[in-house]
Amino acid sequence: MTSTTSTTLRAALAIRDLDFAHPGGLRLKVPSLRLEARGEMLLAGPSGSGKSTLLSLVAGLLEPQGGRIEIAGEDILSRRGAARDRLRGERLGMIFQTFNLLAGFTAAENVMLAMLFAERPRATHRARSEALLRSLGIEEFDRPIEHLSVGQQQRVAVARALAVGPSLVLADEPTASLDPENAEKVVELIRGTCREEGAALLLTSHDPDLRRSFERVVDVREFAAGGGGEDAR
Amino acid sequence: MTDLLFILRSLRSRAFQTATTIATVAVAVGLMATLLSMRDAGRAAFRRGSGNIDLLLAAEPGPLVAVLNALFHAGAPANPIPFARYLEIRDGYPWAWTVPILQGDNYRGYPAIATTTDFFARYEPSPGQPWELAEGRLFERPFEVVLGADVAAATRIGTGGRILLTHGSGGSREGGHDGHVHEEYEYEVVGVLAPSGSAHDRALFTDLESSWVLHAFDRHEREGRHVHVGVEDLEEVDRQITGILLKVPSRSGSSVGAAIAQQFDRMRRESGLTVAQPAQEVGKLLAVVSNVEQLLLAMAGVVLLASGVGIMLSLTSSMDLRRRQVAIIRVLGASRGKVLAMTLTESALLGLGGAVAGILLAGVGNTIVAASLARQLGLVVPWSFDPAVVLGLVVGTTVLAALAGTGPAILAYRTPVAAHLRPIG
Repeated sequence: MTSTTSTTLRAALAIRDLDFAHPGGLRLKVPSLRLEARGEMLLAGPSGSGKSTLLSLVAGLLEPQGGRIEIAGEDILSRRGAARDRLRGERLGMIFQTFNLLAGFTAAENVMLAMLFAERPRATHRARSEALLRSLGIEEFDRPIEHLSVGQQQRVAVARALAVGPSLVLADEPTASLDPENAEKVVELIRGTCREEGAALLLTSHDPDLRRSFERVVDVREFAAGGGGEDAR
Repeated sequence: MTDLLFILRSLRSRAFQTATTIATVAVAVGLMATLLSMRDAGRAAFRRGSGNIDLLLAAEPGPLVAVLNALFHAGAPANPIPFARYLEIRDGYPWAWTVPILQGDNYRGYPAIATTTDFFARYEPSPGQPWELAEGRLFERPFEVVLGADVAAATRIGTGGRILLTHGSGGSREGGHDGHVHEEYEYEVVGVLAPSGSAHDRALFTDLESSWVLHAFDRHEREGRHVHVGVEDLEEVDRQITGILLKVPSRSGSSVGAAIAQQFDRMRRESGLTVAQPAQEVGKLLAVVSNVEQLLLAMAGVVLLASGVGIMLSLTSSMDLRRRQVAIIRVLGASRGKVLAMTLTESALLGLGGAVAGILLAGVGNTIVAASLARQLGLVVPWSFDPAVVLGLVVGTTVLAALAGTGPAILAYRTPVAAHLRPIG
């Protein structure tokens, strides 16, 4: 990290010379990709074109063959083991199409889990999670997550992603199972919350309608190499 | 939110699995605890009974039978010793003390011991703990009787009560009614003993002469004479006993053990009676029992191991669900090490919960069994749980459970995160 410039430090995400070959045949090459702090970017492309894979790489959950991925100025790939997990917990928030909330836990507990594993002071957990949930219109803090409606679960998932005050939120196909009207609402909810919390947003979607509402749109097929393109799986 | 709270919530979210796993462990631990407690209670009961006697003389066929009958009331001795023989033995050596006993009568199945007051003054069922009266006094005249603590408690007879003894062994407790009641001779209860923790608590105590009178009366009946018999009518043939308790004197400068061994050999040669060293007989008995105990303990150990395997299977079978959970908390920043530690803690908690539940189960079970034994048999098996044993069981089970959780924990540790976060639909 000796060579990082001041502009790199400001970026929420900076990828350089990333090279990843999936054992399944998919190959991604990202020469350069930047997302400024508090910026927004839509990562477009059809299903199976590598959007989720790129997000997993950014989150440090997959190991590329080479390159550099900086999150708020810190190279996640140069970190190993618990240090990388810690960076992910502290700087990244993730939102999934299937929410990936934990059944058996209440709405507030699901949000607090993010703070637990990011090792935020325990005394702040409750107040922070309730404030976030309330701002998203959820008052049922102590209701088990499985007793909430799908729309409410979506909001809890958004709250969890932002609980630790991350630099970057990765939203993986959050609208895939929604009709166009609701899809737009959810995207606006995520964008609005990220803006309020000062987090940059990298959102993936195969929905072409969303392209219009984002200033920056990057098609993941640009990064496809080798076998890449639409027919890659 | 804390790590522990997270683990407890996870366990709760799999409530059925958690409950069945804890139940499996609880049954194993309860079994183990019961066996250990029964062993301790049994040993304590036998140790107490043999008391401070060095030698026991009886006309029974073997020393173990003699000890079990005389000191634990397993049955009434069938073979008499003439009282004159007792006097010869008593006067033939400078014993520390000697106590003659005569068994054979009973009250509603509770065995009666006819003896002298030296039985209370000299013999201590638990060495160092002399007899104490809960109420009244010891017998002083013929046809006075002192009740053991359990007899008084079970029959609700106290000082001033009047009872009739049945002649013959066994009585109602063993189902037979071969004895007959001496309605002509009523005994007065003059005292109740405090509990001694020995088998004697379910016995009654009276003097030798009144028992001899009952026997003399029987002898006259058999001979066709229906007459009242008093102490003054006793003949030599009526004066019989069934056992002699002996204490070898301890003299400074010589080994008591050697003196006991010497008198043991001399009595065997000269008395023509069965000579037993109660402590040794109890030791032999416990040695036999301990083989069985070890087998039972080994079985309980196997059950405990099986419950460990149960924990492992339970954790492994839930692994599919768990992988998603692991993937989620990894995304939230939990390290592999944390996942490993949490899974181990979870299995240790299952063991701890099972162990505590098992101890409680054993406690409730043993209390019920002990109450039933006391009610139906008058047998007091005191509820004895060595705190060290309990602690050992709890700690051991928890460690075993943590070990059983190692495999699943490693599986959780290795869970690839990205693969388990893919959209399902």
